[in-house]
Amino acid sequence: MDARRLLIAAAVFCVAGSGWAAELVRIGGSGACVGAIELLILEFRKTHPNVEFAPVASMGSGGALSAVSAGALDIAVLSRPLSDKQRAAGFQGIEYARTPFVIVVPEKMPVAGITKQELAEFLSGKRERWAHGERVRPVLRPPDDIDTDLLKRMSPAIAAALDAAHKRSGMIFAATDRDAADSVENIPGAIGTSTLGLVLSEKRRIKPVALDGISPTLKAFESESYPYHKGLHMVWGLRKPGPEAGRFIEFVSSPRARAILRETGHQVPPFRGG
Amino acid sequence: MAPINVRGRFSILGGMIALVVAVSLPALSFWQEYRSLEASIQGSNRVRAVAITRVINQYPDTWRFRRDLLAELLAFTDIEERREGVASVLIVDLDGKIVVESGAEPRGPLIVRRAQLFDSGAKVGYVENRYSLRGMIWRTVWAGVVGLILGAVVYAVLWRLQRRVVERTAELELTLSRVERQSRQAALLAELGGFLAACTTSEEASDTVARFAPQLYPEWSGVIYLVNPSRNQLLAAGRWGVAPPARDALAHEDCWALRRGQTHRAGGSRTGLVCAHIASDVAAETLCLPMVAQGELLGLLHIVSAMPGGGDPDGIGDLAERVILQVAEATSMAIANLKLRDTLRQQSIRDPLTGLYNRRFLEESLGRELALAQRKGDSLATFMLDVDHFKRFNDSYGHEAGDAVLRTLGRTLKEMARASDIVCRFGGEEFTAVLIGARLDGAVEWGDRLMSRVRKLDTKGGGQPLGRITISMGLALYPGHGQDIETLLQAADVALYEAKRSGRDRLVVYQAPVNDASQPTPGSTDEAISAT
Repeated sequence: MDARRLLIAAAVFCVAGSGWAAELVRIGGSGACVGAIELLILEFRKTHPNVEFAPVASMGSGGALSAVSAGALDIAVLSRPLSDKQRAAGFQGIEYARTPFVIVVPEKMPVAGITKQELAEFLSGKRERWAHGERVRPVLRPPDDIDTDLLKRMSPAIAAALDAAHKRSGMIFAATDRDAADSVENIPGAIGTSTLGLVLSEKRRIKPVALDGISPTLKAFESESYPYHKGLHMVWGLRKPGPEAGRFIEFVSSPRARAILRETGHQVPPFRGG
Repeated sequence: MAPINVRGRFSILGGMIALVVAVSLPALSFWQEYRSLEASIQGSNRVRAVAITRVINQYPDTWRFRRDLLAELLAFTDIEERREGVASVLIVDLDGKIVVESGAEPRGPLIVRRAQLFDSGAKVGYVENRYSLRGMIWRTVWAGVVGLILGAVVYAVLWRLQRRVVERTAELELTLSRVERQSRQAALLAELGGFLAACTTSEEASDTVARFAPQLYPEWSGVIYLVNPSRNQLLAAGRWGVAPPARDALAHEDCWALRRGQTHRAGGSRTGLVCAHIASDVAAETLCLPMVAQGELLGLLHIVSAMPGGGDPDGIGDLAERVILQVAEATSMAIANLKLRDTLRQQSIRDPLTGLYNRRFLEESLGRELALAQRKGDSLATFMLDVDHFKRFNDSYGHEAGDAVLRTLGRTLKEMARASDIVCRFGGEEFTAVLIGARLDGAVEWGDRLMSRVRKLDTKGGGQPLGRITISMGLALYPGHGQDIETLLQAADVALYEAKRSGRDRLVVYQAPVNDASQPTPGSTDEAISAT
């Protein structure tokens, strides 16, 4: 998977470097968005070869907003909506896609699904082993992360178990969505959170598992049988993005881009379900 | 109430404080260093445990075999721990097997601290840090040595402080005692001044000083000398104390204070010259103060600070000298005032030309003598006498010659009168003589002798002989010729008039008239007794 990401980044960089256009479009943000955005850039440059893109930085939603505010990025991609305070500060944006928020395990683990009750017991430490005997190793996100918030909303038992897990010593923590995906990929018996969009767009060696018997597919999400998701947003600051960045924002709403997003587990506007 | 043992209590308190300082320095040093070391070990252990736990989480199945990585994490330590034999760090699994070890086993005694290792929240072992306390113990020993030195210094400082407090307290008590004594002395001096002002004679003043002085300085002795009338020596007028100087009289040359005209201290620890009037066996300090007023030496105050041979640790201090000087000055002023008063009185009752009493004194003293005679039932003779033809001396030889006659007559009268008699110049060339206790025959005999002696006087005026002088005399007797001053003097005057009228140079005894005994009249010639 690392090799694939590097290949995509190198391709984006080479394509960008071969052009003669002066403007460099800088995009960064949540790891849940980065994989799909990189695919969109590749597609965009087919029709706009002169537009150059800096490597897309996986730096988290908060860091990306600060970078846009400081002028270090042209576009921030977030996995959570802007708050009223951020809008009042001059940030603008669009929700360009939604993707199911999923529980993931290593791709080869013989587990197809779990219940929310089991998830709570894994997190609290009451259940230390998978049914096949392997040790359960939860990969946690920081307490103020959107993934932690989404997990807690699933059930009070999960919320309590998560609070307890955060207080236990020696737990595995992942700072970003990509770190979490890396940990689940590499640690035997791991279980963590991710998005269907990230798993598919980056072709990760992890798999979303059914929750309470419902597989987290785009179809299930759109049919409202699987309710958990993340909204993905493109955000810019008070300063109007340059013309090339503006064209890319417009491109994300194009049919071609929407097709790519759907292929990689994203729901595109107009939204329904969720 | 029993006195408080300040030194003893200070010693205990000072010793306790010094002990606390001596013990607390190494104790605090050890405690502080131990706490610091423990925190440091626990801190580094926690960092190691977090780092190793991350490795365990990353490689939960194979972490124990990644020895190079674990050893690198264990080697993350401070410089002190790197020293051989000081510290060792090791990772131990749940079965107690050492997974990785860094550093040789340190020398005991040890401080051992552990931090747990986790695999996704489950304990899988611990990281253990063993640290030798030898270096700390040696540093504590050194701190103990420094603490002992510091404690000794603290004790020395406190002991010195205690001594200063005791000394200051003693000084304060002494100062208070001195203030009280000065206050008492000031009151005594004021009282002495009041008594001295009421004294009527120098002797009485001296006696008053002798009675007050022991109250001022009970432990001292002294004597007050007064200059005698002839001014050739000083005579003891008052003594006080246990062993006052025994000498009754001293000459001007006997005393250095009199010679130099200033206060002189000798004896005791002083090396000054000792006065000749001080006994050679007196070991105590002595003080001589000349009593001088208006440039005139009146006497000497001589003080001995303690009994002979006894010694007085304090001696006569400057303060005491000032007090005694005040006594001397007050006494001098009192005596000078008495002398002045005496002089003024003499001037008021004496006739400056003849040196005899004047008429005022006669009237004062005659009344007293009459009362005395009346109480005793005694007699008294009163003469009125007058220089015959006195005007002729003035006219012939001048007033100076007249004055010489009066002075000569006055001297003769003074020589012939007894101390108890009253002789005065009544006015002009008239004189009065009162013979206390004299009867008629004795009085007549005295008058005859006087007239006889006057006739023989060789009076000169301006170097020239003035010729023969005679006097006329009238005699009146108490109680026969008068009961009071006025009647008696009038009777004597009537008799004098008769002596003049009947030829002068004679004595006439008053003869009371038959019809009126209350009015004096001169006696008949045949009744008069006249001296030839």
